[in-house]
Formats: sequence, C-alpha cells, structure tokens
Amino acid sequence: MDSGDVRFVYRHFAFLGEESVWAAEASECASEQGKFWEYHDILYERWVGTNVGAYSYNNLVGFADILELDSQQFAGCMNERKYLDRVRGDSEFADDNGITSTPWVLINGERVRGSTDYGVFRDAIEAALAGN
Amino acid sequence: MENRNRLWIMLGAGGVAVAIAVAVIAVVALNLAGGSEATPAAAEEFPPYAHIIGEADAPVTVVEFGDFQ
Repeated sequence: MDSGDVRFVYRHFAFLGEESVWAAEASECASEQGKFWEYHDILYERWVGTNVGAYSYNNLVGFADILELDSQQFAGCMNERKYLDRVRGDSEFADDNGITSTPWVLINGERVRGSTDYGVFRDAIEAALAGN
Repeated sequence: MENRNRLWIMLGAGGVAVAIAVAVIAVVALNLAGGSEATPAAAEEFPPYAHIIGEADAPVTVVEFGDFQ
C-alpha cells in the first residue's frame, strides 16, 4: 500500500450473531473519532470466542477507553445505535451478492479462495499487479 | 447382431459414466485447491462511508467483507 499499488477496503458482514453487530457498530463509533482501524485491530486482538461476551457493551466501551476515545461520545453513539442501519446495510449488501462466509476477500473483483495465509494473498496480489 | 448392439450400448453408457466421474473429480479438486471465482460486480462498488486505506487509483483493490467474530 505504501507503494501506491494496492488499496484495501473493509466492509461489514456481521452475520454471526448479536456480538458481531455490536462490534461492527462500535467500530463505526470509533471511526467517528478517526480511529476505525485502531478499533478494528483491537477487536481482533481481544476476540476470544463467538457470542461468549468478548464484545459485550462494557468490553466495547473498554476498548474505546484503551484507544483514548471520547468515552461520552462513544457511549452515546453506542446507546443511540447510530450506525446500526449502516452495519445492516453492508451485511444485506453482502448477502445479496452471494457472500456466505468471512473473511470473504476479493482482489480486483476475484474472490480469493482456500487458505487465508499471508502468502496466498501476496501471490494473488502479485498476480493481479502482473495483470494475470 | 443383438449381442453386438448390446456391447455398443454398454460401451456408450460406460463412457458417459467415466465422463461424469471426471467432471465431478475436477470440480471437487478445483474447490479443494483454492483459486478464484468471480463475484458480482456490485461487490466492487463502495459506499461513501467505506473504510479504505490506499490510493484511489491503485491498480489492485483488495476488498474484505469481515465479521469481527
């Protein structure tokens, strides 16, 4: 990406349950304060299981505190469910386009299937750069 | 003559069965080995609020649909 050859786009497909939706909403609330990617990273770092409380309200607020976000603004955003429609919209879009699992990665419109190892993506990106 | 016709019918049926088996094996092998498949072009369109890193004119665009869980 530093070379200008690649751009990366993240979109929500929150389909594994309530905590998926809450976490996605929280990431949008963090984005409101310019910390989407930092919040994105902390969510993956702190994940311990599916729908087991890893992304409870208190934990999500706690992650915002770690990133030194404005806690009142963040809590207000979450309480208001300000970005629920956005998260649902992204997820419905994914659903409508036949996306059924995550991570679902497209490189220049072609889905990368199989392993999610770094090497697989590196090779696919290099092939795309070479025009293959 | 009847035996010869029956032989041709059996050979033909066998050929069709082999062709189907080869096709099934090829599809399964392709799925196991990975590779790529086209996704509807709409998935390459982004809303204005999409989270993007990198240059808009980059020759390669990587899109991840993710669930934080």
